[in-house]
Amino acid sequence: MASVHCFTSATYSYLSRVRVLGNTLKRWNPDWSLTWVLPDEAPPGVVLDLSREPVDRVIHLDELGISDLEGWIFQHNLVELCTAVKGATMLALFKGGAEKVFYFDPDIAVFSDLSELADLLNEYEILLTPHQLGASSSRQGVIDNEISSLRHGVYNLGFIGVANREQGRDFATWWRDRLITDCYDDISRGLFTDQRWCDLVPAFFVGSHILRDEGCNVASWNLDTRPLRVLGDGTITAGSARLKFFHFTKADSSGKQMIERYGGGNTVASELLKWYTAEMLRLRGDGIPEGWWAYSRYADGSEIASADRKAYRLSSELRATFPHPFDVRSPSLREQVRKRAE
Amino acid sequence: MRISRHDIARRLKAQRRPKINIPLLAEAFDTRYYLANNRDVAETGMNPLDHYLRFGWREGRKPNEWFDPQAYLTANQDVLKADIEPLLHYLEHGRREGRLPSPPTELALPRDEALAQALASEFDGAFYQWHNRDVIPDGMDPLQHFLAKGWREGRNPTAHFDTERYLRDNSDVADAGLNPFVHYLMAGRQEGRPSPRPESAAEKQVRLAVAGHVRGLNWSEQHSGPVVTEASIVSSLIRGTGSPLILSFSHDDYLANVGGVQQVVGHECEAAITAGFHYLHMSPARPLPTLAPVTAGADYKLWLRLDGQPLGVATAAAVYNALASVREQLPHVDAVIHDLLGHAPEAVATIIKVAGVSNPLLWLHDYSTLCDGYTLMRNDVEFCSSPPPSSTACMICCHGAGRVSHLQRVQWFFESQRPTVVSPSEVALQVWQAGDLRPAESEVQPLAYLVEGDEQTRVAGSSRDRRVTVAFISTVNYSKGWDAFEGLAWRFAEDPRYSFIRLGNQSHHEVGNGVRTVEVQVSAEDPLAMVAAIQREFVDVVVIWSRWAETFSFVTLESMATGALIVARGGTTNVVALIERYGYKAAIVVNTDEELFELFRSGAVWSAANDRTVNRSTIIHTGGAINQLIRRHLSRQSANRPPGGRWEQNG
Repeated sequence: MASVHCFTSATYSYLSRVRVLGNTLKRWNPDWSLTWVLPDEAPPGVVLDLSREPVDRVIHLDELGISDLEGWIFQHNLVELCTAVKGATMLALFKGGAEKVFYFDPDIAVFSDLSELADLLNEYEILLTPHQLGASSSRQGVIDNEISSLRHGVYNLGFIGVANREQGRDFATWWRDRLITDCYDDISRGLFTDQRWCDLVPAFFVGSHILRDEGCNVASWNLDTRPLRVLGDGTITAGSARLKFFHFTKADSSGKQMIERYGGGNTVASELLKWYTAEMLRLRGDGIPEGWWAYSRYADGSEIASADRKAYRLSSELRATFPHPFDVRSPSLREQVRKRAE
Repeated sequence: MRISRHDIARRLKAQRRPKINIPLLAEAFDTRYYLANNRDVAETGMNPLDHYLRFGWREGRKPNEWFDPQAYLTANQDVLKADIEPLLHYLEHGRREGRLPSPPTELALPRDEALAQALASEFDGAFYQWHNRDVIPDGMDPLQHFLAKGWREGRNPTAHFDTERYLRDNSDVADAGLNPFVHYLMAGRQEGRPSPRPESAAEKQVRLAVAGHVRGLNWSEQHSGPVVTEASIVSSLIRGTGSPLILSFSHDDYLANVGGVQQVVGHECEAAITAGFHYLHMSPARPLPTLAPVTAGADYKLWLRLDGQPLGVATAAAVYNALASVREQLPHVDAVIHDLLGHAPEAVATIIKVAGVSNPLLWLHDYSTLCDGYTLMRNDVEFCSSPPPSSTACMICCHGAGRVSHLQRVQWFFESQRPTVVSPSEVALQVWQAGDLRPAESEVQPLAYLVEGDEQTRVAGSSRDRRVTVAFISTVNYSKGWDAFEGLAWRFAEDPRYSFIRLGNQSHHEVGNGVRTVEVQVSAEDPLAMVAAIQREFVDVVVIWSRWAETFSFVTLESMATGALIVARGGTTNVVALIERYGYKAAIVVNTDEELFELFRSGAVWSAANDRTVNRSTIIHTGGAINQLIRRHLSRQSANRPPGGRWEQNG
């Protein structure tokens, strides 16, 4: 059997989600491996013991061959950074010999065997899941879902599957390059991290395939067109397909309302949400401060304003002058950007 | 134009002060009201609005009838701290933010026109009145009640707005102590905040569902007090050594609790005594909605009754030691398990084994042998048919995590005890057989049956154009379909064709409003109390809307015995099976809540209830498993003893 490698990208504060993803992935696909790329540094006193995690390997940023790493990190907010490493990680896994690689967002949970997806990668080299597979029937749905897809990208990059073959490698290289230079949440410039980039994939890569399986990447943004049911044998279905994985975007905040809004006439969406919330609580990591992200602060612990990051990103002069932007010893980037602001 | 230094200074000062929108304020300011209520101001001859702006609001004087500056500042500490005139704040910001212009009292409805209009068109007084009639004082306007206190108590203003959910989803509104519905109407909806529809009964089930062992944490010992010793049990059993003994297990004390299983055990005990047996009943001293922990072992405590009389609390170890020491003196021992919940199957097996019983009877009163969610409702919301414990459905179910060990323990019990399974119905046996437990044998033994009477009355003609009485006869809970019945009662509350009634043993306050409740207690002494109540209350229609495959339905028999029209939910249910078995004509079966509603809306139920033939019958209760127990005793006796053995002497 071809070696199937999965990976996710998350900071320490998402440890419980990574655990839910790992547990559920391996429950149904015990032969698949999971790699966690970790754009973060451990909170004081926290040590990951992989023998006790449903994770086979952790990749740190310094293993990805990114030049001027410190400055590069500084230019990104949390979501941007977690996304910007995806292409480089996929290439690293290919170089390590993985034949098929799947990326899953950490807030995804797997609900059944995914071997059909691995089989599809024999025929195709890139699998993408669109946010929606059909039109919304309500005006609210058009606003919440379709217009949102036009802004944020047609495909949800919480999932992608790529084969380690020519087109797949070409894609991964292109993806890595674009994400290293332009993985920002900047909708006014046509960018939304990696998602808008992938709108180009069907045109650029012949081996790409739009996965129309209603059981994949089920989420609040497509629940209204693929109602959930539970069959007598205990299988859950989404629309006409077996539920394979569900994307619990913002399950602890606004996403909950959206799942409830589009959950339809039965309770299965509420049941999934309750289960997921309980699992996150059960698997929470000890000693991780709420909202922890090592790169959210300057070296003295003060918070980095998004304007500081943006100023640094937009100015080659600042980047050249301050190769260590987190450092606050004078003369520092922080002093400089604040002086400019005044 | 020449500008003096004085003018410049005055203009600069005016620029520093927040600009006051005098026209807006003047529009809301009621000069006549202000002067009438502040004679001292009238006497000064000062401009009333000027007085209000400079002094009045700080002195708590009201600028009009509907705005109370003092109350507004007390309720809105942010405005108080900002030291700004409160009426203008309300007009410019507060009303859009859902703040109230005056304290909501029982007498004063909001006079702010925009708010009053919004409430008039959006607040559903009939809905509010029906759902809260127990708390709204007579003659009080429902809107006044909602504004004064209802929202603080989490009551919903319409069927489409969930007060508590809005506060949960909008913590800023909760933190500001604002009325969520007012906030939504005046601000939230313009800001794009969703109107939170109320949680459905099904969603509430999901939210509250917990595993049996979690639910059991709050369950206390029903029986405490001194523990009965082994010697004491021995002396009680010795007194009965002339007769065969039945060991009986169920989930609680059948004489202290009311319910179908308790009734069966009661009948069985009486029938056993009549037939010359002794009947030792054991229930957990601390009942649990799950198996007793494995660790409880021999130390878990049992509440004992011998022939219906209390013996006291004993450890499982004391019971089996006692049985071991008297076993040789007992002519014959048999065992019947009505329910394993609350018991440790390992200890029950030991007791049975010590007593020399090789294949006990095991009743399927519920599906607790398959899952501690003993109604087989996934997350207590949807009947699940008992899928494999490794299934996705079990993974997301609150009962799923404990199910593997639950099944392992029950499987071990089945393998070691080889019980004969007795099911009260074919339906229950079929459902249960999907669970893959292997009994020695299985059989169906209904708990009661109908004997048809001769009396026939046709309702048609004499009773045309009357209001039909529609009843719910069950415990008020989701699995029995109470939410569907309550929905009917609400939707047809004003419909002259129907009145709604509930017959049962819970008090009015535990039930929703708008449904008349009649207390009825069915017991071993008065097993036909429900039949009598259905007749006494002239019930025409009984809605039987159970959402799980109940193992037996007394309600169906009781309804059929009185000739009531049964409106039942289809699917794998005993209700449908009983209707078919008896060829009962006065029955309508539909599958969904929407179809149920349509039956009432279209008048199909009303017509059928008014056009039925009532054929009254009698219910005969069987004595539980007593027939099987006698048969087994006789066959063992004939196999093991010469004719004229002890049982025949005593029986």
